[in-house]
Amino acid sequence: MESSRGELVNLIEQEKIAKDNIKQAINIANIHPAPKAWFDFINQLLLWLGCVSLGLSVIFFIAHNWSEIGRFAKFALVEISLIFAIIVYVKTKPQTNASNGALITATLLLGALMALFGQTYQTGADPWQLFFNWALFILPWALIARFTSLWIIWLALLNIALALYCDVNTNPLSLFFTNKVNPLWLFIGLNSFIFACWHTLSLSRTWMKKTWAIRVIALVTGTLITENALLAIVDDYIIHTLALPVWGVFLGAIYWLYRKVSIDLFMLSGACLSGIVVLTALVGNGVIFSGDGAEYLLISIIVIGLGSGSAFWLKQVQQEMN
Amino acid sequence: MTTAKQSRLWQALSDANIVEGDDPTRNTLSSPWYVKALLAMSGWLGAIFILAFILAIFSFFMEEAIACFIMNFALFSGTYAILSTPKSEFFEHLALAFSLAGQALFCWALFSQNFDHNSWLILGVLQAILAYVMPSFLHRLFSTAFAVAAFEIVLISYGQPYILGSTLIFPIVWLGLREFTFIKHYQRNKGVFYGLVIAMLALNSQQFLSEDLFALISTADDYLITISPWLIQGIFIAAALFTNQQLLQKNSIKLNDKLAIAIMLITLILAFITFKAPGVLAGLIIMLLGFNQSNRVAIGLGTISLLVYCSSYYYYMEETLLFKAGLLFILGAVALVCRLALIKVLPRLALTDNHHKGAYEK
Repeated sequence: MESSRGELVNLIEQEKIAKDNIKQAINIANIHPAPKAWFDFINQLLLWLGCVSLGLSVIFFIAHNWSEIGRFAKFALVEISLIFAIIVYVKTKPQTNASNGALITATLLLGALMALFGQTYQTGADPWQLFFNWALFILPWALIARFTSLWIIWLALLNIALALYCDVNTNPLSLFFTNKVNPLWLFIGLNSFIFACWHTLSLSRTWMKKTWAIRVIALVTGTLITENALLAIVDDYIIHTLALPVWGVFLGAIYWLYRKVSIDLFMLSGACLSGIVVLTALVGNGVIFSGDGAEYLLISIIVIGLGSGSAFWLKQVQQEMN
Repeated sequence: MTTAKQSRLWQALSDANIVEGDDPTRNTLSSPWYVKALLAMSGWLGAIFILAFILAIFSFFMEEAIACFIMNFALFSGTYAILSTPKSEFFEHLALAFSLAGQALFCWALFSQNFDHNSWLILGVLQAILAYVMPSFLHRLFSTAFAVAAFEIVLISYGQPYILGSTLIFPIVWLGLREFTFIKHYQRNKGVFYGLVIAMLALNSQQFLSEDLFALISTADDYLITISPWLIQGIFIAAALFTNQQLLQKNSIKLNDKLAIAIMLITLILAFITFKAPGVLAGLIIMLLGFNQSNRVAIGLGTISLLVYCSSYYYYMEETLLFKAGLLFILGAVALVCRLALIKVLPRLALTDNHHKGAYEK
């Protein structure tokens, strides 16, 4: 049975419950789990601990590059483990903890296999290719399994691959632009595209409607766009870059999608925070610092005003929701 | 929290004659955590600029230690005054920033006089006092965590880098399971509990950080006694067994019960496997504690700590990757075997015991 812990704590903090009645109140609020709940929790805990530990143990083993065993033995170890994980996935009921655990283990083992391949044959490939190919190979699994966590892992691998690519190629957009362009735009493009696709597809697919997933993607995209806008302000390239207009469009899109079309306080809170940070940076960039401290007071008043205004507006939206 | 859930709980409590009257929270809305986080971040941003203004005006205070101490006393008093009155999250974080400025001034004055373990001890005591006095959950949390960090540095300078990480589990478990026992001090205990949890998880998750600090701070001349690493690991295993004993006691399961013996045995096995990787057991303990109290925040902290530890364990240089791979393999295999045993054996175990009959069958 669901617990009412938050509600009970709220009442205790307001001193609405006498000390003598606390034990009874705890039982009514279902604070302590029933034996069946304990059984399920420990079952899941041991399953995930086991799967992740086994997957990581293979990765650590491959990374050690133990010369005592031959390369074929190493490949056999990883490939047999991978096949076993896939068999477990196939044999278990889909969308259960056991099948999801097996899939995550298989994903980790696939990465270990690819690292072993690169380590053994010294292909000369760049590190970004490992993560890109890893993401490529698990794409069919993600499409078939419809497992949200696996999709997030896939997105993380793409971003890591892109980051490593930008490490090697300092001007990754040289194919399209003659002058050097901030690689951050590549990340913004990738994650904005993913956000748009996920939001659109989730409208017609139940398994994609998990709020935490779209919020994680929105958080990453919003952080990148805000960072880009801040860099444009700090580097004094406000006029010569699209960073601020793109930031404005992104905020507008968030407002339209999560205030007009539907309501999501998390998204609106993130947008408010982004607005506060960028506007503060704009004001800070505009004032001249004379050293007597008055400018700091001005900026702090602006920040306090923006923060209070955001809180008031979000409270109104929350009341509307309720 | 939803108002519907709040109303249901109030009705249930009212039916049991525990409370009376109308639901006091009916017309109030509690902000979700992300709105509070927004207010916190904007509060801190505003506070940084206010502090810059104060420091620009009173920059001469930094030159005299006595003036620093006077200034930080004023800041602490101001913080206490703001936190004592009914407040919004925004002004609470503003007050926290003032307190942090006071603590920074205190550190500046203290360490400019003498940078040694006595100064860290004084700082730890100050943080402990602030954790007790300041009427704010977040302030108590940060002060407790900073106090633990200061005491850890003192212990490192005396040549004992690992002892606090394992001994902290005892007060955490004791306090966590008696969360609703000391109702008068609920707010204080909540802040101290989370501060201890975060500090303990940080200490156990960052073994190599302790070693770097150990090399930097300690000198053999300062050692009181040299505690054997095996004793530290023994304390850790004892802490794990203590946790289980407390959880079993709270769930009314006797220690001579077959179920209790099985649980203690599994704990002992896991503790022995992971004694070279204490971050794993530390995270698991917090998750179990959190689950017992339906505390999702604690469960989340334990989960994040486990994931962070797994990432940082790769870079732990005291052991080879081969050893670490072996440890993780054994841990994974034992965990899955225990899970199988749980599914197969536990219902049979429960059926022979009337206390748990039928409780574990799916």
